[in-house]
Amino acid sequence: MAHLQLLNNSVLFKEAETSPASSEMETKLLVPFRNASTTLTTLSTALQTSEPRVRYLYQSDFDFLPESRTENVLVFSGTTMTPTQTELANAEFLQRVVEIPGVLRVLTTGGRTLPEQSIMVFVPALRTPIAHQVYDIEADIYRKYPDARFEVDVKDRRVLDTYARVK
Amino acid sequence: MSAPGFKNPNTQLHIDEARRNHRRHQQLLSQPTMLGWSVTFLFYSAVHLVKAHEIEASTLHGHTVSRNHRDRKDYIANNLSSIFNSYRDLEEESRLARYDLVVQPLADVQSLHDNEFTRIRNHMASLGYDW
Repeated sequence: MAHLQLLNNSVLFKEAETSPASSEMETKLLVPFRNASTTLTTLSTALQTSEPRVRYLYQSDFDFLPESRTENVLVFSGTTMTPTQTELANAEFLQRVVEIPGVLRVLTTGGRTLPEQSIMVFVPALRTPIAHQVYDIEADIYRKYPDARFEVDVKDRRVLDTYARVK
Repeated sequence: MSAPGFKNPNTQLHIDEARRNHRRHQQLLSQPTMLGWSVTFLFYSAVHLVKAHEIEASTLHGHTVSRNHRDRKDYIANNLSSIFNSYRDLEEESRLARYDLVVQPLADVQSLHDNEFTRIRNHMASLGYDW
């Protein structure tokens, strides 16, 4: 499928399986946070013009992180897709925040899909240039996606063990 | 001391609450077990200064006043961007104290006041929102 070729550089792996519920073939893509926004926009653009229509539902769930991998991923599978402001905002924030040197961890919390979730970012300490780089991106996202239900918590390393599920 | 001539009478109520929360913050500094709440009062002093600005702006320009913390951050990012990082520092330090029970030494709390809070207060005062 052409749209999958577009994504070859941004996905960690993909697998196809038959859905027990619908008997339809589903393709699952694992996408690291660092490619979240690129993948979302590429996929949605490609799928709007693809024939036959192929749709993807994505979920963001840290539990899908394979044992051998060390970075957080989004899981795209199944059906949808016209991204909402919240999806676009969350995906762009994830992609940008993991590029900040010194960020310790980024987690999504809440529902199964990105628009339902809030984001938790762990930095070595608050009130530091690293934390402020996170806030700068957060403020930029607020300005760029005014209708998004976008929510970020920034925590310091002292509480990392409280929240992070280490695989 | 507040700027005269607010269009909305509720604006002054929020400035008054900002002042009271600042006083509560100061009162708790002498109680080592209450420093976390001292930080929270400091944060809420900032919240009410921002809210005063927002209420006045909504009266003048007709936009909706934010109903929660998320919307208030959106408002700050778009209208008071120079204090966004300081506001977020205060908010996250307050959350650390309340929800994660992180103990904040007196020196850190005073630094939070003298830097982040003072930056917010000075900026809001320059716009006419102060006590």
